[in-house]
Formats: sequence, C-alpha cells, structure tokens
Amino acid sequence: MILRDAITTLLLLAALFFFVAGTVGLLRFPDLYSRLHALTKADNVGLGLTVLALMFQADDGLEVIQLGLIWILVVVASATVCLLIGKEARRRGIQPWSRRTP
Amino acid sequence: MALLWFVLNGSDARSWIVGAPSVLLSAWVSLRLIPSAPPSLSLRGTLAFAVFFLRESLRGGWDVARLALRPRLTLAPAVVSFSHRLPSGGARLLFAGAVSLLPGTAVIAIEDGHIQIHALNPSPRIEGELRELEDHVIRLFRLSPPNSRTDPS
Repeated sequence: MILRDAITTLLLLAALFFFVAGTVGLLRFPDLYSRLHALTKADNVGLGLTVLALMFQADDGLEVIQLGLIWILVVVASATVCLLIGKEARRRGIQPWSRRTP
Repeated sequence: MALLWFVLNGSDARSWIVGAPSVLLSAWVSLRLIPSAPPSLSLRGTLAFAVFFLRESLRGGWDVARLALRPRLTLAPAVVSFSHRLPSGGARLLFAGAVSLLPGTAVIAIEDGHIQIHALNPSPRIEGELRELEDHVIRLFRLSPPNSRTDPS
C-alpha cells in the first residue's frame, strides 16, 4: 500500500512538473505556433504521468483500462486540435515569429 | 462505440440516457465519413508504433519543458517542408497527429506530397526523425514499401 502511494506521489510530482513547464511555455513562447508546441507536448506527458499515477490506485482492471482510454482519447483530441488551430492560423496568414524579423 | 461507452461509464444504467444517443450518433457519423472498409492494421506494426510513440512523446514533452524553463529563451522557429509518401486518409492523419507530439515539431498544413511543419529549433535531425515516424506508419498500415529511397537503419 505504502509502495503504491509512494509511486503515485512520485508520478504526480513528475506530472506537475510537465504541466507547470507547459504553462510557462504557453506564457513565454513568442507566438501562436510555438505555444501550440508547449501545450500539446508538455500536457500530453503530464496527463500520461497523471494517468499512470492513478492506475496504481485503481481497484480493478476495468479502471486501469478506463484511465488508459482517457489518455488515448485526450492525446488524439489534442493532436487534432493542434493541427486544426495551426491550419486555421496559417489560412488567416498569421506569420510565425522568427528571430530574424526586425 | 457501445463498447467504448461501456468501458468509460461502467454498468451504470442511467449513463445510457446520454450514452445510447451518443453511440448511435457517432456510429452514424463515422459510417458516413469513412466510406471504405477499415484498413487492416499490422499487429507488430502497431506495437512498434506504440513503443516509438511513447518514447518520442516523452522526449517531446521533456524537450519543450526544458526550452520553456530555460532562463533565456533560445528559440529560432522556422517552417520546414517535409515531402511524405503517404496516401491521403488515415495513414496521413495519424502521421500528422504524431508529428505534433514529436520533439520540436508541429504540423500546420497538410498537402499532397508535402506537409508544412513548424519547428521550434530546426536541426538536421528532424528530417531523420520524421522519416522514421513515416516508416512506422507505413508498416502499421501495411502500405507498399516506398520506392527509390533507401533509409539507414
């Protein structure tokens, strides 16, 4: 029991790190496109670790499958939304920020 | 779809008040949207893809976390074009979705033969990584082996 709780705690702390980093990226990155990177990638790992952490607290196999499924669905949704936002931004002619622009 | 809902909500009978219409609606929509029979996926390809995807998305998250937390922001983003060999449909979409979770790359447009990728810090490595992902997708969907190109590894 204590071992399970310890693993859960460690994984949740790691997840927290990624969520914080993703949010910092969202605030600090220069434009829409780079912010998409921060959100999709960091939050994907953060949620994955959260799901893994909670799997160690699950009562039965069904709960483990449910948690895994939630992660997969969110990953698919976030990759899709990332693509849609990127496409729409490009269609509207939003130029990516670049170091060389004056 | 019914199976999906059952796994998510368990046997709670009341959840089917929302569940039953959702299942019917989503089944109808996917039948309308996907005209042909579902592609046959290779099991080994799926496993290999899953391992590759988990490893790379972990690396992707770590990479972007490191960039975000670095005291001085050292980004030099650029849009790069990548010529892919995937037919339109599921394979191409899976590829595009997965690219966004790889380290430092996000797809911003899909065209025939090319996808436009926004890279946080473009490096020569990106090309190789994308090619590796593409190979995984090709194996997953049992697509015919690409001609004329010989990749290392």
